[in-house]
Amino acid sequence: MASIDWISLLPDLTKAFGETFFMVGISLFLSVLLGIPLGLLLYVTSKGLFIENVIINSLGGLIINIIRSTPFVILLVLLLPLTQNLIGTTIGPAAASVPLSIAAIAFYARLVEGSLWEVDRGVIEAAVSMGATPWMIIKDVLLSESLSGLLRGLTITAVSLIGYSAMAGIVGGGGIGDLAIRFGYYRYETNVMLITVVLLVLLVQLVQSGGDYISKKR
Amino acid sequence: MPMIDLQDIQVLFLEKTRSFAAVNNVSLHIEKGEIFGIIGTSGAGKSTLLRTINLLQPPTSGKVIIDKQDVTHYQGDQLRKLRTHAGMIFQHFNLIHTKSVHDNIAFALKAAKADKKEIAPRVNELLDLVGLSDKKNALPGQLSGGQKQRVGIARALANKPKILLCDEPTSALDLETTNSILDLLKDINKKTGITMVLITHEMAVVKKICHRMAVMSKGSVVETGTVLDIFANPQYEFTKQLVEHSYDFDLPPRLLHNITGKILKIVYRGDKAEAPVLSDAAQNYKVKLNILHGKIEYINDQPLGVLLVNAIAEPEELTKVIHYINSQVERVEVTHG
Repeated sequence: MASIDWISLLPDLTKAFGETFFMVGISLFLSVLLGIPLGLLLYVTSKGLFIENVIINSLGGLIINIIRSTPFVILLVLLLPLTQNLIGTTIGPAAASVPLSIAAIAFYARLVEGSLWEVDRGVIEAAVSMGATPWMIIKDVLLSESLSGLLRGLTITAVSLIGYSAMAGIVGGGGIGDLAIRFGYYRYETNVMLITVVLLVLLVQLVQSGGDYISKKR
Repeated sequence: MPMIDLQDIQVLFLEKTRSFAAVNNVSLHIEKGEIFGIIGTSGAGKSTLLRTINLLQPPTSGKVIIDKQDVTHYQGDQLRKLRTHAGMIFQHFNLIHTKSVHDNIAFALKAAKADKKEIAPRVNELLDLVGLSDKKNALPGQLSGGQKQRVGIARALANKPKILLCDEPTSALDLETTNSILDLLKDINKKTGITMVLITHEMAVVKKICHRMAVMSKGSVVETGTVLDIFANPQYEFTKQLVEHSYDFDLPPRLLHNITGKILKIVYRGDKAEAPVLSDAAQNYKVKLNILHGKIEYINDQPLGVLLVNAIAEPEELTKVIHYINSQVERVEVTHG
């Protein structure tokens, strides 16, 4: 271990961390922005709920299932044309964020839907009986009652994204996982690989504990 | 003119291969200002029937008429507006767990698009009404069952509704809390003249606060009438069982084994309760009368008495005695011998 040249590794490490934060940050932001509405849509259109709609529900479920059942590496390649259209390039952290975000949105939408199913149906019925509008029920009942579940789901999504982002190296996305593969796997520098793995474990631990803390406080 | 008029309500649920009538051609007329009880065992369809009144459960066929308006096909804003005029309370309270008592009540006011400035004073007024002024900022999790139901009542009354629908409001509460909640409901009915429909499986609840009642069994209403009438003179077998059950007049087997003569169940009510029927009978006929068990209850301030009496006499004389007593009271039944 003593043979590692820390000084020369440091710039690589900071750059990798920056890239990971960039990719995970963007995807996480988009999964909140789009995953919550999508999860809500799946929930409120399901059978027996106030905007029951079989077509929208099955269609949304199907799209999410397709995204979720495709291995991330394949999704990365399949979405290259879309990435080219959106970002103008297929290489780099920004480009890698496109498939990452899409996978994260689908993943989080299912977790959101699951959290919403945990909300007491009686409370929803009470809100309907008071003449509340669907928007009021979504805002003051569904989102309020499921907030701690939504935060837990977001933590799980963040942790999964850190894992997925390791594959971003394939399109030159960089990140910590990519660093581990390049140094540890391709160059046989096992020490560097171990260090990045330890750093990843620490990062995940930090995200998980932080997420647990916030969701418990709610 | 009834406040709630249900006409030929039917609710069909589709199961895998057949359809099942949860509510079967029920017609009920509930007068303005009365507390109307619907009693039945679980699965009798009473909860489904109650939900047709505010269309949480739209009927498959039939009409729901509220305050002279046919509301059966109301939708969207019109339906929401109707619901703000019909409060509802629930067995499990159904408060928003993550919102304070104040916010739970404010939610009902916002649902009715109340003026923002009016919300705070109205919430205080309601908390005062249900006796929870000091719990304004508490979360539902910090309240007892009875307190939660009080919040539920405050929330249901927030928009000064014409109707209050009560879905087993005391079934999750202990006896003492049940009584305090029923007293509160009775008090609100007296003060505001609000029409209440209450469903329950407990005869004691109906007896305590309802004016009139309906008995439901297997999706149909089998009997309706004033609570006193139904308790004094149940017609339908299921109602008889319910009434019998609520008295709890079990005699020890030892006593039944050794007894001679007959055991009569005498039901009397109103002014008859004050006439000395038994002592007259003993004086006018050759009969020995011995009271084994009995109870006088007051239903809507009217006495209803039930006595179990052992009557010993010669057979012919006994027939005359029974005939005489029967002519003086609500009814007599021979329950033994």
